[in-house]
Amino acid sequence: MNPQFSVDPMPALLERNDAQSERVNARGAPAIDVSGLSLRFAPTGSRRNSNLALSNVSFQVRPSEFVAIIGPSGCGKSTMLRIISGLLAATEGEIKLDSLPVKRVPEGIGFLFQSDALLPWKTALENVTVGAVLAGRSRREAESESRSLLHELGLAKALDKYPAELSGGMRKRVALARTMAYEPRVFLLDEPFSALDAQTRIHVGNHFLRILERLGQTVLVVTHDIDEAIAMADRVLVMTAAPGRIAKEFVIDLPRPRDYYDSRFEPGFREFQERIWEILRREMEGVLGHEDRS
Amino acid sequence: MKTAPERVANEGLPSADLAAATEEDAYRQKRAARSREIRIRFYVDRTIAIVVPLVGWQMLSDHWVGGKWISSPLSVLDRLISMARDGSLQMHTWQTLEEALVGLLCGLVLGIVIGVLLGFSKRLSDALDPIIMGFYSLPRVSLAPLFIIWLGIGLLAKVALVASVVLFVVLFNVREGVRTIDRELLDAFRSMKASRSVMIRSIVIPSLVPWIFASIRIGIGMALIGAVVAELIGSSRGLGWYVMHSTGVYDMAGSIAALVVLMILAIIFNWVLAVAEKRTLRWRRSADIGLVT
Repeated sequence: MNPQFSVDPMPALLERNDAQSERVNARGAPAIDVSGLSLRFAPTGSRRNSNLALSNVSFQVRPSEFVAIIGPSGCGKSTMLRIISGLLAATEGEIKLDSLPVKRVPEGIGFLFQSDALLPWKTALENVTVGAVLAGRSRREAESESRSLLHELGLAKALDKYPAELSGGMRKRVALARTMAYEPRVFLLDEPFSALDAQTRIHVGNHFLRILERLGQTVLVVTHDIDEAIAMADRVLVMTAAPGRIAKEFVIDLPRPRDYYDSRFEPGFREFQERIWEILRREMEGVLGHEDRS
Repeated sequence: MKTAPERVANEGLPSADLAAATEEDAYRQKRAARSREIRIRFYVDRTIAIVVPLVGWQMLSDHWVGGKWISSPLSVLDRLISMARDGSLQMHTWQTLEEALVGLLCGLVLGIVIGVLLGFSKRLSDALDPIIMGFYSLPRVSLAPLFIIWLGIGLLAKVALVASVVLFVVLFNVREGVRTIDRELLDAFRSMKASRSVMIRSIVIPSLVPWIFASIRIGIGMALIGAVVAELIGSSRGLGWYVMHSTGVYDMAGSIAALVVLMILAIIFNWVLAVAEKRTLRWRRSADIGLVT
């Protein structure tokens, strides 16, 4: 269910030469267009200076593309997802979703939080139903839809359980089901598996990967796990330490469908791993060195 | 159509199932026996905990101290029965109960409203903080004479005092509850474009329920204190009035009888609350239930 683009050529494009505009049109307008994004936090507590969290970040995500953003902790990558989803306002720069500038929260955002953000007082089924109802479905439709989504994610036995009764991996899958029930155009995943243990992460990661590949929606995932980024994404953007910028971009041309775990045995995987780690190590050394000095 | 080996395999299964089932049965029986044992032990313990002090009291009164000072369980029981017969027990109890309940309800409603406002508006909370802390540190009991002058010696003054005592517990609890609402839950709903009223219904109110229960639990005791103190200062009936009236004429059985009724009221309140809490907060306990094996 890809969004279709029958958008008129933008005024800016008309001024360009034909060859260029043709190429842009062939690719279609970007699903996510981030340009010149900066974020400055006001000084808090003992800090007297304001804190630049993001510095002039620009990148685009094409429709149906799966992009991973990776960076050292504290580089502002999670914050950036919040800005893209309209939950947080940027200091400078512009975000466009399907060519429309983001002001407040736009339609069709499927945000999956680091914590599961499930209602503890609702059962798994009720939690997922919330997503479908907010997408505008009738109660009854929403419930049957949610039921089949949970079945699909292997949670048939968990329908009437409360989040506290579910394991971390199951809660993650319920959260994904709720996001899917909302039928978003764009999935924004904020470190989706960071709270899971290694084996559960592979299991749940595979579930996510299979479903997201099948849906073919635009996905932007933020992670600190290099292997995860390479295994899942078409493109990996590596960010610098704070203030975060895009340091480098890698196009991951591994064949699809991928496997969350087995993809690491594909030829080429290791090379990506080494090159990304090279950049991250440099960034982390900068951060750690700075901490030692102060 | 089943082939022969398949059928053998299928016939093999039930016996394995059967073994598992008997094992499960044995385990269940063992567990049931154990929990029965624990329950019986509990009742025995409880009975001892209640009977021993009562017998001690009776003996103290009969042999050492004298009923003139501490009355005795039997004479208190006697008094309760005769009060129940002439209807004065019901009248006094109802009076105190009414004051405590109406006051609790007023304090609760007021506390929830103010607590929610203060929780959501840091500015308001910062501005009002000294006033709130000032009134909170003031012994509210000292307001009782004022309430009586302003509102008379009827129900209203007592309700006002009870409400003023309960108000702050509720207010602080609810304010803290609002401040600790899970931000990611709110963000998750915001990212799905949920309206404000949906977020209040699905997140804010359920988040506050445990805090409100906690404040009711503390508030019950406080409401009874408030009602009794108000009666001590100015009234013509109620359990507090009865305590004061009885001690005034050295009627120890009477004052202790009223205190016993107060105690029973508090116990019943707490029990009703515990049941309501258990039902409402099923999602909270469910995790524990899952763990009991």
